[in-house]
This record gives sequence, structure tokens and C-alpha cells, in this order.
Amino acid sequence: MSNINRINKDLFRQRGKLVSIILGFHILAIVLMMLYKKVFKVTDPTSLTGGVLIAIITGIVLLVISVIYVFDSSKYRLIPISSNGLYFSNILSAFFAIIYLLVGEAIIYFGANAIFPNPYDQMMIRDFNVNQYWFQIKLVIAFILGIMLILVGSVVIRLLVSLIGDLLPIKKQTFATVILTLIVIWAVMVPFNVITANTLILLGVQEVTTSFSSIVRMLNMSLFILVAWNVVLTFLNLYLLNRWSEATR
Amino acid sequence: MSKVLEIKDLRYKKNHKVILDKVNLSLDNGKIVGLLGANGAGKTTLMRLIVGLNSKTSGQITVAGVESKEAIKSCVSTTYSLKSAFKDVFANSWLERTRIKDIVKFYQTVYPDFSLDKYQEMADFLALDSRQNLKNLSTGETEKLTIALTLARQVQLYLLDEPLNGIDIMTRKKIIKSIIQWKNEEATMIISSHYVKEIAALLDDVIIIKDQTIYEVDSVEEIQNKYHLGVEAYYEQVYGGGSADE
Repeated sequence: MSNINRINKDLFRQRGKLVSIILGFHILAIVLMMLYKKVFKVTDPTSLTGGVLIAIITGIVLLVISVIYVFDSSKYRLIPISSNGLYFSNILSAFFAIIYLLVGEAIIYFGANAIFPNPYDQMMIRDFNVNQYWFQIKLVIAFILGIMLILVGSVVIRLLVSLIGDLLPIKKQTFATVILTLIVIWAVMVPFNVITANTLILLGVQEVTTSFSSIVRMLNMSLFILVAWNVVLTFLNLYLLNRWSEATR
Repeated sequence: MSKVLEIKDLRYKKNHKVILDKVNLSLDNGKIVGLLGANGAGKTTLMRLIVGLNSKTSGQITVAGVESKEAIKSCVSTTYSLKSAFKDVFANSWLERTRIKDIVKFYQTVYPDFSLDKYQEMADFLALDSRQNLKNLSTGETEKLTIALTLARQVQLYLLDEPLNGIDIMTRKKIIKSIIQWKNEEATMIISSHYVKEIAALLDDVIIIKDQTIYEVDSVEEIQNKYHLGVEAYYEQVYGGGSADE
């Protein structure tokens, strides 16, 4: 087994465990809620969408922390593997964890709806079940790319904060790091917003109307921009990781 | 005798402060080398630079003839803070359940040179219980585990950073005994420690770091012949008779 496969195996197992715990908690929460309603004879319908949203947000936050931990930890930085190999293993395992989380949440959502039907979620499912399969697929891809951008962007912020912190003539302290992180986030968001806005204008966003074809066009532009930013930030991460980054734990 | 480690003009700067400068070092195979220096002299930083955990500002590091970070990591086994490095997203919660056997499994998975038999021998000798949870281990137990994991890899260079810190005399003796017992004949081991007296008997060579650079590299025998002093006395003399830590 090559070194890259060895680390993949470990990271996939770890991320799988993380998502399984989130899904497990979500199922437990639904079961407890339904038991509560049954015991106390609560008849008001309860939507399951909020729970799905909370589980997905929790999953994304924990995955971001987990991805950043890998680059900070001596445990991973000492493995005989290139920085590029470590980066792609880390991001790839996070990508599959996101897919697992989304598929798992979809199964829980539809399953819970079948067992405990409620009018709110049935309406949601009906509305989403239009015959535009290609559009729906693109929507899901855009959602996944958006989550990936959050992950890759968080790594950029972390690596930049670490690099700038090392260059400054002050030792790292929690307060200074928080301030520095906020400054870096702001400094990264400014060019990000300007470039994204100008690219959208160049792609013709101003001609977009409320018609379905216009919405599809807008979605295509978003997909293009998401892919482009993911690629650009990946290159930036690889540069920072190879040249400057140090293990801190 | 072939060289296991060669460092040329190494420089490392952080927070506008030079930590190490003009570091030149060459070590032979099969030695146990003491890395001595006051607190903040740069011992840990030098070890972290060798293994690639810190990024050097300039200079060249070669281990067993290889220069790339990836290749160096295959030739070096080092100690590090297990409790800090094995923290995951569930740290400090009841879901944090990293047991010794999970860490051993991790080493088996990621290091092809990890010998489970050798680890098991050392774990038995050091009385490590694989079912124990990492967060419940004492300082001494964590240190014993770190040593067993580090020495169970079959590599050419071992870096032991302060392996005796904060632990009682009996455990220190056990760790020293395990170092002697399980070190490969061909491999070189660099040990940094403030317990100079206790490790002195182990050492073939000594490296002293002072004023951000290597002050001296000598064999223990030569120090005795040249200065008529033991390692500890000489080290104290270098640091002006008492400014050193021990």
C-alpha cells in the first residue's frame, strides 16, 4: 500500500466516523421528538427541514475544523508524504464526507417524512420534484462546490493567518490571533467579492431575468465561478503549504 | 563511516527574531548524540527543522543522502506531543476516545517501517496498557508511549526531544534502559535533555547550542581528553557555570 493510500485510509475512516456521529445524533433527535409528541399528544405538525439544516451546518463546521487540524498537527505532517499529497488526501476525504453527509441527511429526511408525514415537508418535496432533473443535479453540484469553497477558503485563511503571524514581531496570543484572523478574512473577502462581481458582470449577469432559462444561466455562471475559485484557492493553499506552513500542534 | 545527517548554513527566523543561524553539522551513523542547550536555545527548533515540521529560512538539510522533506520523513522518527497532535474535533468532550491501541493502529497504517513486534516488546517492558485512553495518561505514561512508538519505527535517525521531562526517577531510568535496549546498531539517535547527568552515560557525541548556533560538536571522549571534564561539567562551563538549566 502506498503512503498516500495509507493516509487516505486513516482520513476516510476518521471523517466517516465524524459524519456517522452527526447522522446518528440527528436520527436520535427525530426519534426523541416523535416520542415526545406521542407521549404528550402534541398534534401540531413539525417540519424536519430545520433539523437537516442544523445537521448540515454542524457537519460543515466540524469538517472545516477537522481539515485545518490535519495541517496543524505533527501527527499528519510527519507522515512520509508530500505536502501536495497530504492536501489532496485531506480535501478528498472531506469531499466524500460531504457527499456522505448530504446523502445521509437526504435518506433521513425522506425516511422520516415517510414514517412521520407532515404537510410542510410534503409541500417542499412536491415543489422540488419538478421534471428539471438536469437543473436539480446542477443545483446539488453548486451546493457541494459551495461547501468545498468554504473548506478550501478556510484553509487559505488559516495558512495566511499563520504565515502573517510568524512574520510579525509579536508572539502568537489568542487575542492577537483573533484580530489577525478578522483582518485576514476581510482582506481576502475584498478581492474575492470584487473579482466575483466583475466576473459575473463579464458573464452577463445584468441580463438575467426571472425566467427559468435566465435562472439556469445564472446557475451555470455560479458553477463556473465556484470551480474557478476552488482551483485558484487550491493553488494558493499548495504554495503556502509547501513553502511556509509549519505544524503547530 | 557514512553520514546520517548533514546541515549546511541553516538559518531560521520567526517573529523577526533569529532563532538559529549559520548552523553546520555533520553526524555519523550508529551514534547516540546529546543535544544540549539552555531553554530557548533552539534545540526543539533544530529537531523540528530536520524533520520538516518547521520551514527553514535558508540552508540545506540532508538525511541519509536525501534532501526532500518527504524522503527525510521516511528516514527520521521523532517524538512529539501525542496529546496535542492526536486531538480531534471531539477534543475535551465525552466523545474523545483515543486509546493507545488506536494510536498504534494509526502508526501501523501510516508508517510502513513501524514494527508492531518491537512496539509490543517495549510496551510490555514499559508496562503500557493498550486499552488506556490517551487523555487519561500521566506525563510519564505519555512519555513512555511516545518513546515506544518512536523507537518502533525502523529508520536511520531518531530524534528524542526532552524524553525525560517532568517524569519521576524510576520512569526516567526505565526510559533510558529502553533507549539502550531497542536502538538499532546502525541508527543514530539525537537526544535533547536537561537531565545531562542521567543521559551522559549513553552518549557518544555531544552537540552544544549557544548563541543561536552550534557552539561545539565533540565526542564525549574528546571532551574528557581536551578539557578533563565530564559532559555535565563541561556543559555548565560553556554556559558560564550555572546559567544552563541543570
